[in-house]
Amino acid sequence: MNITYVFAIAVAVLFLAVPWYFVILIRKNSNEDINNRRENNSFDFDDNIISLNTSIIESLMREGIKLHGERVELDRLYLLGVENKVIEKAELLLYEKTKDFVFRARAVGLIIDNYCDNKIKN
Amino acid sequence: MNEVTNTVIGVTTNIAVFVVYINLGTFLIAAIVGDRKSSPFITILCLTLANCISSVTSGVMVDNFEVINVQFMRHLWYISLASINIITMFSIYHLHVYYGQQLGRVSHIVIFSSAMLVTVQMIEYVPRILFNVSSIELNSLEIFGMSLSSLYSNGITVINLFLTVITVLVVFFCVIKRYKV
Repeated sequence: MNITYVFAIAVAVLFLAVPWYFVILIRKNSNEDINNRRENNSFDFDDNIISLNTSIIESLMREGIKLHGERVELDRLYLLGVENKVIEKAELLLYEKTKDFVFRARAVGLIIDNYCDNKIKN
Repeated sequence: MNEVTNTVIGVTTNIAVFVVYINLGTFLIAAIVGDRKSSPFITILCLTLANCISSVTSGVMVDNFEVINVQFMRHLWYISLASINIITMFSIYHLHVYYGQQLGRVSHIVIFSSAMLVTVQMIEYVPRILFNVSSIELNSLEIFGMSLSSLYSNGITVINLFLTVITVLVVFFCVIKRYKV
């Protein structure tokens, strides 16, 4: 068999295998990632807050430590007296950074809470 | 090269130039209005670069097709264009990892389309090398009810136009999102 044919077939096999393997791999990773998020429904604050370096979130976490003695999740901060609006903004910022819908859901929850509180007050 | 080949190359080149201009336009708009670390922007950036490089590379190869060894140029044509598509796929993925972004729906579509482009390149590459035929002679070979030659030219054109429509839509929604509030 001519060496050119062997080369052509080898190249074709390689060039067909690599992209499709890659497509399957990222598809699998993406599905696993979504499943993990659904199962855990949590976020590692200690690792991610520091890497995000978003000043408002960091100051809120410091406030949480000051009020509570240790780190608390953002949606618990309102129980410690931090304004809903501030936490809501932090949640939305986290959503923008991470695209994790948990943060968006929490922000929406806070917006609804805020709306209901205002209705009751009025 | 005969008249039919010249016409096919002419039409394909015109569409390729159109795709490159549209991609450059969408990239500039995305750079102005969009988030420069977002998944759609990274994808459009990689796609635009790939289209520009492909366009330049194919132009140079068409000009030198009969100057250099034809057999060598056949290998070079398919391998270089397929390599650019594979590099695009990896670039999109690694830039997402670098900027800590998740692969969005658009990225998945572009990566999948790039894999399709590589597949189409390889479907024509193997018979051309094995049977040592020109693109006109490939018309006698059929796959999926289409001649190999038309499968190649139509396949590449359709996938590129599809990607262009996707990028235009992405940028359109970016602009709407930006100026909505």
